[in-house]
Amino acid sequence: MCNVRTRITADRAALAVLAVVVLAVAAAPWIAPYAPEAQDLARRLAPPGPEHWLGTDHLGRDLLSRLLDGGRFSMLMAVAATVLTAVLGTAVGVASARRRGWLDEFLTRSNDVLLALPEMVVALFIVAAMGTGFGPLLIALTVTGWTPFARLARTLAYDVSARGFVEAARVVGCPPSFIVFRHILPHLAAPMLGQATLRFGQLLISVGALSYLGLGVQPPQSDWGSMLAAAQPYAERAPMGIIAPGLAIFLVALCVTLIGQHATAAARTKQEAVAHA
Amino acid sequence: MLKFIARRTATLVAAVLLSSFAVFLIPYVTPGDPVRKIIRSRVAGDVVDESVVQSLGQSLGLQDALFVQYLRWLGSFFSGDMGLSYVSRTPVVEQVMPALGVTVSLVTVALGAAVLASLPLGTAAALRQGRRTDRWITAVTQSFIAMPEYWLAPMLVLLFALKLAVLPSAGWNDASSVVLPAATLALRPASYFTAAVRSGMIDALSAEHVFAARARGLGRTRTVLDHVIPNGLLPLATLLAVWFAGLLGGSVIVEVIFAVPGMGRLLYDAVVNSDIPLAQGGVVVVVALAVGITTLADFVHRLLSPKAGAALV
Amino acid sequence: MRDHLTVDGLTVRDTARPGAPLLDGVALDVAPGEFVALVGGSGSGKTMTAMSVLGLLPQGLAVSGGSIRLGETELTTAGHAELDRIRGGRIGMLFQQPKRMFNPNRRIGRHLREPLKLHAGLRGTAAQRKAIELLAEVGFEDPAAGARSFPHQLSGGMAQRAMAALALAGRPDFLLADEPTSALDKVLERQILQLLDQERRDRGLGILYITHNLASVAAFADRVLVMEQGRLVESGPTREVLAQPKSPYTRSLLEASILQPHGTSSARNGVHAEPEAALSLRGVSKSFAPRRKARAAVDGVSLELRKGEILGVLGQSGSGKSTLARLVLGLERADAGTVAIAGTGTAHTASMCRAVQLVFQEPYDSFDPRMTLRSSLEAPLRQSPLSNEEREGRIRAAVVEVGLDPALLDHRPRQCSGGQLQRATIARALLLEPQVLICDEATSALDALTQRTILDLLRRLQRERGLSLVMITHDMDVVRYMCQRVAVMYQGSLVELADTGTFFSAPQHEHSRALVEASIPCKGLHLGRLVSAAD
Repeated sequence: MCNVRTRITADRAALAVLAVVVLAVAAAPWIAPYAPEAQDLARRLAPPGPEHWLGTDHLGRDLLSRLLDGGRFSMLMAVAATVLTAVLGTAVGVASARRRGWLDEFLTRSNDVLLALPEMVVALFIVAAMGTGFGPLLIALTVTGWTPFARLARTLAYDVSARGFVEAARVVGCPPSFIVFRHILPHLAAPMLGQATLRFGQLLISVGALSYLGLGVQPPQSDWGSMLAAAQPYAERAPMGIIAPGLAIFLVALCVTLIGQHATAAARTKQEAVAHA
Repeated sequence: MLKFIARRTATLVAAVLLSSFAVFLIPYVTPGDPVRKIIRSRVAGDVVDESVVQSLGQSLGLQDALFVQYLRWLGSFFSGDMGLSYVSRTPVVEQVMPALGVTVSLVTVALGAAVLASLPLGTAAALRQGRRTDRWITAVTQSFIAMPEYWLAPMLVLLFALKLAVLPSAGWNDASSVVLPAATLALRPASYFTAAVRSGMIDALSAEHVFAARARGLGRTRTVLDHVIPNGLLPLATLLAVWFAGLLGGSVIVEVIFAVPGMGRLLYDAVVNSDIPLAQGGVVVVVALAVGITTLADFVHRLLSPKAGAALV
Repeated sequence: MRDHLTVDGLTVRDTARPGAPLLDGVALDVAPGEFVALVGGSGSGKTMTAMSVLGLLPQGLAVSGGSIRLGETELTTAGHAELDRIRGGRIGMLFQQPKRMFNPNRRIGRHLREPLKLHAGLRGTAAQRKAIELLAEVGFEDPAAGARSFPHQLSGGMAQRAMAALALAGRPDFLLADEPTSALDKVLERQILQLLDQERRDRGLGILYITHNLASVAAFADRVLVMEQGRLVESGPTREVLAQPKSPYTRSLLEASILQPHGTSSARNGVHAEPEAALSLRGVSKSFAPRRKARAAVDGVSLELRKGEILGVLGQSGSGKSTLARLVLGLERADAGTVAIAGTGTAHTASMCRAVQLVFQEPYDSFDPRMTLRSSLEAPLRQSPLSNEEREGRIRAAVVEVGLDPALLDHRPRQCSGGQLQRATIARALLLEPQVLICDEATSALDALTQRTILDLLRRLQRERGLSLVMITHDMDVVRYMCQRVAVMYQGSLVELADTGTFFSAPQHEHSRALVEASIPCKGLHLGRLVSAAD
């Protein structure tokens, strides 16, 4: 029982941190102490202090303001990629499980192939071929990103399809669309959501990685990954420049992952309880 | 089993063909004249004259159907002729192979470290399931998943190379230069491995057949050695192969940060410099190896765990 | 004199929870060559008794009093090495779920070599040869192939045989058989018990047979011990205990396990079967792997279901009876043959789907756990042009007809009992005004009393609505209780079709005889007869 309580406390803490970060990033234009682009060349690489809470970067820009501003791109990108891959993967997985036969075979095998491709290499190439920007980046993350969702959705849809109530619905004459939308998708919702939160953390890190390599967001816009890259040459003089954006990514990814893991575990326990009833 | 091998091998071949075809198309789909790009990867000197371009294109068969060109390209590729790098003007194969060697050693060290860390951690967590030790181990290792490599790496450099000055901050010279990149690379797999060892051991320990073995008079130690450990570590074996395959091309960030002359660095350089032949060579080699290793891992998994394997087909 | 296995005053407690002990003063004695049954409901402490004997109680439980002796050896205080020698070497054990008791990654032969090495000192080829011999003894037709196979490749019956070979490999003097047949059908159950009984007669194996199935106890056991909540409540020779149960608990166990026919003819007199066919099958075949040379799941079955009749379809698992039902329902497409239903055309049209309805085995699985019963029952009426009020009225009427409170409609499956859900399944089927109701093991997941009420409900519906019923089952008592005719499926083919009376008195096909025999016990004791004699 103690375990459950710690779990809930951890969940609440994670939710609280996440809420603060999301709200702060969303409200950046109003709450940021400086404009993210405002340079103060006299105060370059300033340490944290009362005027600049987190200090300044190599162009004298306020780190806190840039952190709040940069979070928008990172998080929006990660959310968009998560939603897109989740929807695509679920659709493919359910189609695979329902139609079976050659379609299933083809989709499963393509899934295998894509799974064997290193995600980062594929993303590098797509960005190199299509250029940088929101669209290409989204495609780069989606091409390999849908596969875990498709795998999970296929397995779950197979399992649900074999349950008696799906058979029962067929016997009383319910059409396939009814079975998919009323029986199968509702059963997939919770585990897919759990998977989505787990993937969100990974995608947030991947977005940062591409930006870090200079293939993601382009100047003058910035995000957490590009801030990290820009601050690296000055790491020794102003460590806050790399600590802050990295910590932001780590914290958000960690909180979402924690919530996702616990939600998945809870959904599984509930399912088991139903199965054993 | 034969059917399974046939299927998986077919998948392997299809994957290599598909990805190599996509890679082959790069000169055609990127901006610029494909003929000039291809000639540049074949001829060491710079060709400016249009008529020379024409005749060279003729002699290289660039007027043939795309599919024929692809087969010719694939043939020369697998006989070791991957063309010339745009940047260094040397054969691609002479850059790819050493880079592959570097990455393989880096990944081996990293995954070795991850396994060495995860075995005791995962086992300890499994044996104290639900108690304080388990909760701490699980919480800490799970948080590794959320750790961006491009953050951890500069922090490690800051600490060990700049402040303490005990390890080199970058490069690939002696044994000490492998420590920081391998440590960075090991963190995320260590997290997944620990979880796999933990759940594998919990399942194996609570399996009813373990009880049955005891009921037949098999001693406690022998039961653990014969039934619990082999079954409990199976998931780790599969995961290890998947990670090995994935990191061959997935160590881009770490290699770039630590200036390790491996495959990740090579692919990154190729993309940044638009060095098409280098990129083609690197990608095909990485994908072929990655798909090959995962397929092999599937075979081994199927051999070691026939029941799970039967469900995989 | 050979050693007895004697348990005296055995008390087991949960060390974390002081209070009533889990086992309280259990005493039993098994002599060599004796077949003793330990009977009780789930949670009565039967399995815990066996685990105490082997010294393998789960963590947190401990023997706090009493003794367990094997001859002169006291097992409660024996050391690890001694216990390891006794487990498998002198006392073997069989389990309820044999498949889970094998290491899934090891071949059967390698499993067998383990006790052979431990208890007989055999290694290498000698052990392998002995392993194959053992498999032959327990009835493997191809023991060498059996030794090479992995546990998941065996059927439930073969897995239990292999488990028996494994338990007997160390030549134990006693066998603890913990519900070894409750996952098997009647024919397999009988075969396994006969195998153990043979071992008992041949070499004086003492058997402690743990079960909740009184019919098999009547057939095989010399003595019966009845447990309730960790205590022995009754013991004595089988005939005495079953014919004149003293404790109320034993009486209720007995009542729950008997389904007596309502006189042999009442079912048949209920309705005069009209000669007209409600459903007719002509040469129906279905194979699931046509390219492989696998046996067809259903092979050329021709069958007619008369209007208003109750037809029993018997067969072991894998005999094709469920596939046949799925073909009739249009859930599978037949490779060959036709399925025709009275009044409608042939082949698989939607209307036909509706005229034949199905009641499943697993009540909790037949309803989406996320939906209320009302939304599940609305599904069949979705496409009808009814107003909301009319629809609600129909649903209520159907629910009342099957004897349910309409208030249950707002509940989710988890909040209902198995019997209630099975009634709701029937109500859902009735909404479509079917002519034929197929019940696929519809009562085998229910306890005996609920089973009885559901069967009675089905008979009432058959009478009142003139429904034709197909009872797919492996339970001979259900057939006897319900059916006018019996069809027997064996390996995909229809091997016998006869009136129920004729079938039980003179089964024609070899497999039918096995089925009928399995429902009649071998020591001359029949539970039903025992109890009716006592009444």
